[in-house]
Amino acid sequence: MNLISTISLPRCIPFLTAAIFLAQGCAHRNQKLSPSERRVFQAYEQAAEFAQNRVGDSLVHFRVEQSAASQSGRDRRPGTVSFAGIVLTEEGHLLAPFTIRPETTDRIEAWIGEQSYLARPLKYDESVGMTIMKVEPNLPLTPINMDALKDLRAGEHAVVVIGSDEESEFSRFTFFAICQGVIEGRYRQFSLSPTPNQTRGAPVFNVHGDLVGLASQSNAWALSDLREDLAELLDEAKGRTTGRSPRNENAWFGATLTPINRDYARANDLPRSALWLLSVFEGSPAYDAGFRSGDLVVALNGEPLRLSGSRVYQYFMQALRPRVGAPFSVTAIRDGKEVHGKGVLTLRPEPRTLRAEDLGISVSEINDMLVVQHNLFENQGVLITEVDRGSPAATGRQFGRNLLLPRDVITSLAGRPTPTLAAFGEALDYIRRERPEAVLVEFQRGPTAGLEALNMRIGDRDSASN
Amino acid sequence: MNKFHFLSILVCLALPGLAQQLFSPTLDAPLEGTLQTPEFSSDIPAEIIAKVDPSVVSIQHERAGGTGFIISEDGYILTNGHVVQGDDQEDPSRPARTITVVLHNDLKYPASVIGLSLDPDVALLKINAPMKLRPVEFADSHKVSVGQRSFAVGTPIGLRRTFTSGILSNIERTDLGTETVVFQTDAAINQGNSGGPLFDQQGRVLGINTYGGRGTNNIGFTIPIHVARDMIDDFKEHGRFVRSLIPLFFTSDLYDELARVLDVERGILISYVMKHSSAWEAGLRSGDILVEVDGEPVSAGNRAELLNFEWKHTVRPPGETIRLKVLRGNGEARHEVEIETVLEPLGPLPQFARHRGEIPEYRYAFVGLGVKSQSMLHHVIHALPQGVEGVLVKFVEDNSTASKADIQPFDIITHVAGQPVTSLREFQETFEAELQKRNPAIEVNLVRRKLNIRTAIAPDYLMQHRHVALISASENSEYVDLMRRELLALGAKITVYTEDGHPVSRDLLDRPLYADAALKDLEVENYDVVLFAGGSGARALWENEEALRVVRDTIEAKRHLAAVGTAAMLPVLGSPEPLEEKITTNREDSAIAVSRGANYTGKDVESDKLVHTTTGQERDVVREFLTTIYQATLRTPVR
Repeated sequence: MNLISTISLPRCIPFLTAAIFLAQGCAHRNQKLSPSERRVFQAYEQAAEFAQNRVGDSLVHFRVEQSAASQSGRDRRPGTVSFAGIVLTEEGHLLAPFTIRPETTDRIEAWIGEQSYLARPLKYDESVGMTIMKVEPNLPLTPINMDALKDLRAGEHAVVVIGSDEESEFSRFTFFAICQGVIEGRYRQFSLSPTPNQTRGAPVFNVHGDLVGLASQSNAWALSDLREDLAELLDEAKGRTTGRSPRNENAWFGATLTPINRDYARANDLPRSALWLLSVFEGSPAYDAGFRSGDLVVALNGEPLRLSGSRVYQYFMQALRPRVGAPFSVTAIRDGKEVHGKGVLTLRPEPRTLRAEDLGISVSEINDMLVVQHNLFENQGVLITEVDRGSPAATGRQFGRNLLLPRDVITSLAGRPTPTLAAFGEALDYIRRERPEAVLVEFQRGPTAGLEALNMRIGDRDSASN
Repeated sequence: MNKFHFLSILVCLALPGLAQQLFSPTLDAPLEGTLQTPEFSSDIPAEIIAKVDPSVVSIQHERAGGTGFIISEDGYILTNGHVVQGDDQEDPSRPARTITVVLHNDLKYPASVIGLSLDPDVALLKINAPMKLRPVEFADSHKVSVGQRSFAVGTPIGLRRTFTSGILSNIERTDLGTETVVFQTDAAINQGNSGGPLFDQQGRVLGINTYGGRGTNNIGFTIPIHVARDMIDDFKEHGRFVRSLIPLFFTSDLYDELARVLDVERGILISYVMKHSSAWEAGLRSGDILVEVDGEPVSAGNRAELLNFEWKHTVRPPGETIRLKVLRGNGEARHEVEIETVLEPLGPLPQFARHRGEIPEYRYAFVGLGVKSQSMLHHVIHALPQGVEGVLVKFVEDNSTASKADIQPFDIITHVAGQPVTSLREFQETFEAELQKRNPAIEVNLVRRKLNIRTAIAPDYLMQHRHVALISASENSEYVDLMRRELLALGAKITVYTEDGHPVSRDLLDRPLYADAALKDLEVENYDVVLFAGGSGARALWENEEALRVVRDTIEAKRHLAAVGTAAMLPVLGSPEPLEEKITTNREDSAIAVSRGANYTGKDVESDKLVHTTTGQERDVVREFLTTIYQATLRTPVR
């Protein structure tokens, strides 16, 4: 996997920072400074000191040795990348600012102070691109204190602190940045003036030494927005039985959503941060909460939606924090009036499937979601999901033209209607019992229907080919 | 009869054809094929060569070229459709513009396209030569055999009068997904052979060479000549090939397994009948087995037989009565059903498989939206929802107003500004009424597959403070509708004038374009732009006192003066002083323009100070012209 797209150059850090220190030092020693100028430099020094003190022993310096195989793209070559992180628990849970999958073969070292540990990814969250890493310390580590979190205002100074390895004698490096503005979203980001790539993942403080965020590419994630989700992610990483299922995995709201067009919203005096429910599937949590196709979602869990266009959808999904069992309350507009509904996300129903190797196909039962997803014109049948090469279903009169195709809906097999998977199974049993030489298949293909006869004497009947 | 051939179409659609991957029209085939001369035992006699040589012509136009052959003394020529096709996206059935036919003796003649089809890939051209031409002799392509000697004449890679020879390798090829069977030959067929004849040993035409195998050796395909001959009368009479059918059902040949499981020896399977179609109303049902047509037994045990059967009925005259006998039910319940119905003419085809489509698009380029009428075939081909009335989105330009509204091709627009739009006409009227109001957000309801979507088109109305006088000749005017439509999309206020205030030419939807007033009432002070439409009718304006007065007034009042094509002469003719500004006009009028002292540049679009002219030779040139006018108005204050 590609851990980090930008390969950092750790060697440049000392020079960069040294340059900054020298510049400050020179100015400091300049005896011609006015008192007010001197106060400015003192304020900088103080802010740096506050931040360094506050981060204490919770600073992590990750070094990843990437093998060529672990990278994607054309330019594959082994290399080392560095980035920052923070200590989350005494027992060795760390936060890394990338999605790192557990199956990675990269060697990941975590330097905490002068100690180096081998770190393994435990749990990642793609929506924010962060991973909980684990090391095995001999002594308890010092987790960063997230009790009092502050936000940055536009124009406010920020201090970013990163650690290093023995190459620069485990120095701490400090970068000053200015908050240029706040980027809205489910997780706000403070836009920062440029800091080097290696600061990614580092804690960001205000000039008073209050923790405000985590450095990302050129911004800082607002920790006050992330804190709760990080705590959950940590719980999951610890395998703690919280009674909740893991995030994102098949949690089901049960509707097709699309953002409202801004011009339409303006013309109709509707909020531009809103999502249409284009199809609400019967029996889904959204349906049970009373929502129907054509409703316009304007608020989630008591908060109006934010942003517009495709970003409102992203905001909604992040704010929904999808997990099975998670409660939600939604406000929608229907015929000019607000409607409210509450519910709990459930497990996405998986259609049952069946493999008919005799015919050379796999089929699945059809639900409303599949009808919408594949634009099916028939739901009283079974959906072909795969056709095996060389099988009776694949071998037509002309080379390369299958008799049956994925997304065909089989409505009858060997003269027996197959409205359900069970009925299809029975027809298949009949075929296995009677072993006819040829079998008639009736199917729906898009808006039209067809009939084909499959030669049951051909194909590899004993193995799943393909 | 029905579009039996839609079965093949279906297969093509579902599996982006093997045929399409392996084979391409020879015109498009790469050049890498090497010419190989097959061994042959006897020479082609000199008299045969002398007989066929004068009948074969080469064809050139602005985009490509190919081969053709003369079929009548008065200059009818057969070739492939793809040899003479144009590239007009909005009107895909429009042929190339400047087709030239070069005879064997190097004489060149301009040719007009009488009719053009891409499947079967046949076109009929006509040249007017002062002498009698030597037509080919036709063979009976129903009576051919594999192994029969054949030779091709054509213009491979531009090499005129190239003779290549071989045999008929197969005479019932159906693998290409074509509407009819085609012949396969090993006579070398290369890029440029397209449209040329394949002769038998006696020098009689067996077919039209059409496709070549890409990356193969000596695999060429030829459309049997009887197929092309079946289409000639339609081309002459209707300008297009009109199929007869009972819409809409699909058929399948009774291949071995199918015959066994259906327990029937002969016949043709009706695999699908669209509900509530003519075929359905006539009484046909899915699963019927067709055994007789007009008292004659019919059967197809393979695809070639099926295609031959289909073609035989496709070329019958529409309106003929047809009697079918089908078997229905299984086992003991099987019984015969007799059906009598009438063959219907198939309307223009949508784009699918090898067809580029025959349905013109109605485009508002300054909104980035093109729409067209829906047909029953669209529903089948593009899996559109059934029973949804509206217009079909054909074109959405990237980064346009329409794409900002997230409108996508194959959406069906059902409502505009809350009004149902069940036809293209209704769409046009409703949409243009909103444009005229300069509605900042025109609400649109769409159906996309299974979803209903509400959105809004927010045009930029770049010319919303400008008033345009659009002047058209009373007859033979061009692009009046296009300019009116596009100026509306730009937000301009438009007043249409004709010489006498009577309606002018009809639009794409055959709707007369109403004139608001007569030319004598035009007061240029009320307008920012005075725009003369082109077309041959505009020549009448050259000597029209009112038109010349309007030109003079426009120049004196320092308003924008714009003119298209033939009308582009008007600024030269009407200017009180010799016109200093550069102009352009169509090629025919350029000599006159120069003789009148015009500063003629010949560019597609010319804009000099307040005078704007264009050759107006294509839709897109006219649109570029309108953009130029818009940009020019930015330099003059709003009145």
